[in-house]
Amino acid sequence: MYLQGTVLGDDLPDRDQVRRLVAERVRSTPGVARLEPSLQQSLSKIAGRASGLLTGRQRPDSDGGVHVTLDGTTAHIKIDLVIRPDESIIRVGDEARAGVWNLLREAGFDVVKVDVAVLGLDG
Amino acid sequence: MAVERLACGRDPDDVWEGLDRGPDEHERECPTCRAARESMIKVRDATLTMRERNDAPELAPPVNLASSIKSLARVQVRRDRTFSVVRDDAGELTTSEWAVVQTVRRALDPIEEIRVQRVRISQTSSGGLALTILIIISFGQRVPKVADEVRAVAEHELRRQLRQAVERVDVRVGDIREW
Amino acid sequence: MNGVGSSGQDEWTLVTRAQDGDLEAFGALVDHYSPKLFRFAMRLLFNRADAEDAVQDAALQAWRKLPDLEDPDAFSAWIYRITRNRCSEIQRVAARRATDPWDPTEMPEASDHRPNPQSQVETGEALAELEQLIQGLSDDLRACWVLAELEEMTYQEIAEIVGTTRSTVRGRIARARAQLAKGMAEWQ
Repeated sequence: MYLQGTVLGDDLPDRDQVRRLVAERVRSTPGVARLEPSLQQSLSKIAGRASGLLTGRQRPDSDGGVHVTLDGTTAHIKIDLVIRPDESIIRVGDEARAGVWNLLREAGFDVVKVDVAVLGLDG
Repeated sequence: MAVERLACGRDPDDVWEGLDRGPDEHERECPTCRAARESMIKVRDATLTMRERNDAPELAPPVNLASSIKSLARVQVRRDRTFSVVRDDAGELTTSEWAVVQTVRRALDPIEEIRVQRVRISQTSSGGLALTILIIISFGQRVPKVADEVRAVAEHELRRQLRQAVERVDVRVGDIREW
Repeated sequence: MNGVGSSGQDEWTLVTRAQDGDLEAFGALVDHYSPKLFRFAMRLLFNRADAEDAVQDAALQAWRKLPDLEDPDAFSAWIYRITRNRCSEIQRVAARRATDPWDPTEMPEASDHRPNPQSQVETGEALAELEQLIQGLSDDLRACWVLAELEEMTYQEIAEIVGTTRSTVRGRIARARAQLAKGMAEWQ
């Protein structure tokens, strides 16, 4: 199987491959400024000091804005993104959603859910 | 509560204020005032040195202080301040309150007679959108006319952003002033 | 309105945007204020780790409570006030710990709340003496004096920060000055 320039073989793509493909598709959607990495919620429990040993732990274990859950032929994707100014949230958000949905169906997943969160405008 | 006067009856504040000029006749004669001036000059001079060292490295914050504050603030951005725009079998499109607020602010930017102070968006019990806009307005404007313009621009922008009509727009004038 | 931030946006704009949830605007405020607040906290606490904690806690509290600030022009006094209160709290904790009856073996010098040694070679002895005397002032007097003499704020600004009247501020500064002058006079 060959998808978006990547050879996948006959099996379904794994998480890393899906994350890469999704990220590419989202970034190329017109009106998307960037993916927005989100920080793990557990960070809120760490109140480290800027100068102290905990600085390393404050670095986010980031998902790069794309969170992937695969279960057999089911794929659930969550995307956090920022759109360009003067764009429409619903137009860009839905186009990104549809693009990723189609991508994963083409990749062989039967059940695909794509959640997109528009978190802001760039600039 | 006032400071105790010096033994000669002078107010220490007056002595302090008068340090830059030379001692006046009383201060030249009075041993209490002379001693007070002398010690105050030491305080003043050492204070000046201390002030000059405001930029010294030992008073500079750790390099990562600002960035660590910003990272931690980011984590605290309330996730419940997002709302659903579209939900269907293929998933959900949500947006943060801040994203919508930003678009409304941008749309209102060109209106020169106002400055936007706050924009709040919420969902009503019936699921519709409610917008509250707090503005400050410059002198000499007709408030109802400006408020109407703000309302119209905001409504239009929300429809463009979310393809939803807004149920309610409150425009409040917080202050009238120049900027 | 003051100019703050690389984009040159005035403080009113940054504060009101941050109040609506704009992290970047808040970031610009943090960049501008954290060095000043740190310096202020250092002069109250004399300890880098404590000052860092104070400023970090204060900034995060400010972020949480920002929407409640009614007058965006009062941001500076407001955040200094939060910082000052945080410093007082840290000092209370340190004082309690120093006199903790359950740990008589812990020497006050060993706690990490002791003042950091100042560099005496560079600063000259008068300055070192003044720094000692400032440490000896009570919390209230020190806060007012530092804000007036080292941060060069007006009595009105200080009153808003410490939460009292202008005349009280004036009185505290006068008393602080009297104490410092007395100390400098006794020192040779």
